Amino acid sequence: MEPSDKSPREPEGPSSGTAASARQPSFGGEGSHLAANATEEFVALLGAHEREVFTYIYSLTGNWSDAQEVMQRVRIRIWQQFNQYDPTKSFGAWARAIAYYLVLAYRKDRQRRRESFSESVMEAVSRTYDEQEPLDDRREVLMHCLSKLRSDHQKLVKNYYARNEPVADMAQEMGLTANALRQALFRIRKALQRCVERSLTANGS
Amino acid sequence: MTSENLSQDEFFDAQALVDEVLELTLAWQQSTATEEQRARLERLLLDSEAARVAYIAIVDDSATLALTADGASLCEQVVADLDRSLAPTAVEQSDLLISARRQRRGEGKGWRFAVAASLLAFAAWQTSDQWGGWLAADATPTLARIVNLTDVQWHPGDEPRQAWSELRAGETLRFDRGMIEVVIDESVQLVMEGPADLDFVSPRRAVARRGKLVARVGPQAIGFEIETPQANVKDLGTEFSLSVTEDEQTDVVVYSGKVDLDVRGGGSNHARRLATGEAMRVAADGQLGRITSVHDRSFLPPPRLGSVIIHHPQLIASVTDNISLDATAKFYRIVGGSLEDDSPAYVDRLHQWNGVNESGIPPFLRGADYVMGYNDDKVLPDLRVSVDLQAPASLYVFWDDRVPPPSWLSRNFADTGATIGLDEGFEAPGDDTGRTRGVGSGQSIDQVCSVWRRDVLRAGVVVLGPVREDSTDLEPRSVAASMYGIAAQPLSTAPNTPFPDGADPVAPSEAAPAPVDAFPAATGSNGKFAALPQRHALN
Repeated sequence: MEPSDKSPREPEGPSSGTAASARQPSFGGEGSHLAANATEEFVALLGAHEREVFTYIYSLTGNWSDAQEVMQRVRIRIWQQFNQYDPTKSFGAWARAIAYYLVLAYRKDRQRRRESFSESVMEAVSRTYDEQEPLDDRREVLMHCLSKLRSDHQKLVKNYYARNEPVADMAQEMGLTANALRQALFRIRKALQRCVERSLTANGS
Repeated sequence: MTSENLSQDEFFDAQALVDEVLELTLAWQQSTATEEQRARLERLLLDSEAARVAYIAIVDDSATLALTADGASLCEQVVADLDRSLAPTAVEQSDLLISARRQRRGEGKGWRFAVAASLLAFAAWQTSDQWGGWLAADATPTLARIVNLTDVQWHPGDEPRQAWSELRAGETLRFDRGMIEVVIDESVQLVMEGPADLDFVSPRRAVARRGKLVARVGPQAIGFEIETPQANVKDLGTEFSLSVTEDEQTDVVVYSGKVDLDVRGGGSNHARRLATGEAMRVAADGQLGRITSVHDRSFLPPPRLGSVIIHHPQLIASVTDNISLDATAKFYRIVGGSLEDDSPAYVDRLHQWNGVNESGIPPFLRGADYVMGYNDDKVLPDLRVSVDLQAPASLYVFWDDRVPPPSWLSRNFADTGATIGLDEGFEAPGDDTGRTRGVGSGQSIDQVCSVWRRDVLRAGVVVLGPVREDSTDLEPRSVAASMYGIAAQPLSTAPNTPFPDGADPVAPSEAAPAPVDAFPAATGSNGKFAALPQRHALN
């Protein structure tokens, strides 16, 4: 242990007050830097919540690439503001709050207001996010339901979501009308949704 | 939503609602929704909690299907992309990636984003196959992203940039006024103040022709280098500040960590490693000079998280001493209007000033200009510290109670009777065997200092003396004493603090003294001490 600036005759440890082991304050502050333990804490929290935050952003933007762009901004912003996070509160809720405002700012920057939800809808969706349980179980069940689809339906779903091209373009490649492809995707998603709900009900979720 | 508690009619109504939300959501996600469909979806989401619950589940399903479309778990996919996109050395150096991989191995059911990818490979997200058709149209990878712009006036002829816009290798930022914050390769945070001119050459190199900047470099970006007209500054894991005046000088201040400083064209005798609390000037002719005073007017402070209000010092213009460059490169940091609980005390330690109890630091000290000195000074018997006050002020010295007050203090200052605490911390970050600091007043107080005061009735230089007047061969960290703290408040805010004898030894009627120097001229022992610096020393 590196010797401290104190008399060798004095006992180790603080002479008064509570030896509170606190998070390193003031990341980037004068003469200080983000301690390794705070970095790991950040990594752990972001890892546990990033999926949830991304999906939240996607629910507000409705557009995959917009959601990606906003998520990048959110990562940077929560990294910058990590010293303001209160560890007694939900990291997910804190990150979603930051994401909410970055979605608004993004919409304004890109003038996407017309294609986006109104702020009232965003607020309502956000409230429901705050109140509901995590969806981890649902994701596992969904993958199981996907595996139970007919093989051609599985292939269609995977192909569509992997490429994420406009429906019209994919339909043309497949020799279908755009409407036929949309209907097929809707029926498959409905089947998946029914399967998931039945499974969750059976498992008591 | 389940069928358990619903009648058959209710169940079918609920199912119909979910189906409708599904159909509308898919249309919206596919960008094929009509105005009517979008309005209908909005109405459902506004009016129905069940619709919102269904919507959130549907969006989550869409994300799951997109993220796992090629059969791999997202985590594996992202790490594979990361390995492909980053150079092996960068990956090996990445503590974050290692940390994330540990997490991934330990994860149970479900999947997790590879957080290292989140933090290190923002650009890789855009180019990985995982995300389908979002390959960057431009083959040049994104090197940096502008994350903040404040009152920027762009250089005439240069393209104005927007917040969140990307910078690619080879691009230049040139602006005449304002502040810009940039994140490079997701591992270097850079803040610049104009007028500034900076080339972004690569993720590990930039060229600064002029401007003030401060950088915080993460462990995965060690080796990040900034070239100026006078020097190359190579980061070794730091927070450091540069001030570059084209054709004149480059000033380097290390707030935390280490940098290697090489004088361009200077040969082997002009390479220097600077550590926490050290600063140096490289003049146009390659000569090295010491920088003794650092404040926010001359150097950008370390990047902070969140919004920061910077207070410029109002009272303390500069602090110098009689130590030569050969003996030290450490600087005094003058912090304007900011003394409060948990304020860092020294440039070479993690110690903090704090109230000795939950009441906090004495009220008359709050918001004072104060000086972060260096604690190693406590062993120098001939030390002279010159504090240049630019206005009448109450000058305070925080004196460690373990050390009897010397004559220079007791003769020229008065003990206010108040105390301030020192919460000690170790220099090695993350050292679990070291002492941790507390947060807030009265927490983890290790030493108690008495607050001494002198009212200085007019602007001028006050010279302070050493902590101990006897020499010692002990290492500074083994010496049971702390270097004194220095703070200043406007004269009018000084408290009517009762002095022990009831009389203020610095009565207003007393003629303002000449610069207080009650000591013999500094000796040149071992060449350690330079001549007492002039009032306006290098700063």
